[in-house]
Amino acid sequence: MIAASLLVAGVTFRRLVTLRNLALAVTGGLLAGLLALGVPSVTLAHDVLNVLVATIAVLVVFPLAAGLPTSDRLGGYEGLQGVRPVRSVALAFGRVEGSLIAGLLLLLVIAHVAHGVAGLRMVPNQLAGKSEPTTGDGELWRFSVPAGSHGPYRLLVDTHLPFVGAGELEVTTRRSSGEKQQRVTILPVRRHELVVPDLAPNRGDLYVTLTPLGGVVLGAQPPKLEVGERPLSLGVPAFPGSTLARLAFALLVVLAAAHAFHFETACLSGVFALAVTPPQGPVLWTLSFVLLLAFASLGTVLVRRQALP
Amino acid sequence: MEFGGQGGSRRFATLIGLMSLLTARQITHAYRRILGRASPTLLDVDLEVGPGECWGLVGPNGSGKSTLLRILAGVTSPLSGVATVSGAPVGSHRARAACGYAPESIDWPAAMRVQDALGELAALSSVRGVMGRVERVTALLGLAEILPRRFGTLSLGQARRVVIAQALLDDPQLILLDEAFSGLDSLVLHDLLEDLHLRLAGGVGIVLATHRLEDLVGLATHVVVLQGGRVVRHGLAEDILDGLSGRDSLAGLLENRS
Repeated sequence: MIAASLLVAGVTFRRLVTLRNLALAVTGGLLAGLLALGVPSVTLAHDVLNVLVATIAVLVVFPLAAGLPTSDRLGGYEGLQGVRPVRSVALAFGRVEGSLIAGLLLLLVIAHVAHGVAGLRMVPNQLAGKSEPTTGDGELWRFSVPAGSHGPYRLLVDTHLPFVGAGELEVTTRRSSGEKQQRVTILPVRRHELVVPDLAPNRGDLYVTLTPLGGVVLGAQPPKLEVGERPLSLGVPAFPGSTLARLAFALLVVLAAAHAFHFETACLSGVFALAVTPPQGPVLWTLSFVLLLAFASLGTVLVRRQALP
Repeated sequence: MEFGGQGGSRRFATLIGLMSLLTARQITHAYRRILGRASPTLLDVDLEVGPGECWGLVGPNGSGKSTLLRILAGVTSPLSGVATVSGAPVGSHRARAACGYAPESIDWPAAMRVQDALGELAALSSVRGVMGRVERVTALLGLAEILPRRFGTLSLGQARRVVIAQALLDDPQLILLDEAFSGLDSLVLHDLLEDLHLRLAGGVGIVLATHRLEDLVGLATHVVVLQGGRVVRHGLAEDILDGLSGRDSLAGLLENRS
């Protein structure tokens, strides 16, 4: 039974990972990457890229995965599999396993191509500040500025003004033995862009102390320092783990549904599954996999007995 | 002797299954309808195929030949009646293992390669000797050239040959062929008939559904004539087919059914 299901998985994988499907995935990735290049806001570009990759992945991979078992059923090939002396669970396991691995491979192809293309775009290299202990009233933040980066630098600070009017923020910049203090007016907007000096010829980490005055409240997010530019894809995973987990779970739902229902129902159930929080932790993942596999097996049994319309 | 309930049906199935390769008793089938009465596609059909026998199912379109084969293959459930293959109820693991089924038409997955399909179907029966079994049917049906090709690129006749090949893959004890010979060229047909004769001599049973009587000549040992889902004639092939030839042969069979 195991050997038969592994063989079915291998054939299913080979049927899904064809040159045509790979070309489709590459084209999808190219499209997502090119669209991300055109996003006007540089700060939004990365988030938009993730959304585009996930959307293209859904549009390409879900129909391919759902199409295999449903078209086999309609065309009669599943009937030829069904008259063989093989357990429905082995048949379902092989097909789900092969489709899942192939689907994940296509998802990764889309994500990597998209990141490769979108990586051509230069975005500000933002360093998040690391909190340091301080004895004064303000907050002390350390920024590990790269050696070749020269200022002045832009500092992004989140603030909150709990009254109508204006407050003040004292910004003390220190680097090695150099130090400069400045006061800026804080208006009721969420994010302020300040300019802090390079303090050349002093080099090394840059320390910034932010002291709110006159009722100004600092935001919970650490301030960010822009030190030049970097390609959009540099230092960022092609597919964030959370997005991949969500898509993998939805793909599993699509495959399970495709073993019992029509193509459209299977695709739609995958879209609904995207709205659900995917299982957290290996135990819940295993449980979900087993339950969905049991569902696919039940679907296969019913299809073999002609019990489904 | 009466057999009541499901347990009784199984005992009955086991008893009659010991005597023949295929036994079908009182098979009735109708397509389900939510509202209104379903008209039966098969009504009280009996069939018994022994080792070395080839039964020809003949009848016009819509007479129930394909439905009967689907029931015997375990693809479709009958409304009532019992059918066994080698003593096991149709659809069971044992019956599936003993049976090779070639349906009338298959929409093969266009992007799939012939060798993948045959390999997968062979392995679903048993992973032992997959390559050997595929090679054997490949040689028999002249599939060597099309093995690496995708189904989307095959002609109807070539795809038809693959349908027959998959039915013979596992050397089944019982072969169910639905309009198997239509679309085959004469060379392949000659080799196939030779192979089927050898299998018959080896004790295999064959049920061949066709609307062309010439397919049965020289191969069928028995003939069942179906019309409107009922058996209207049955008996030895030589008795039923004797003197019938030409385009009106099927009509002649149906007219002389008394």
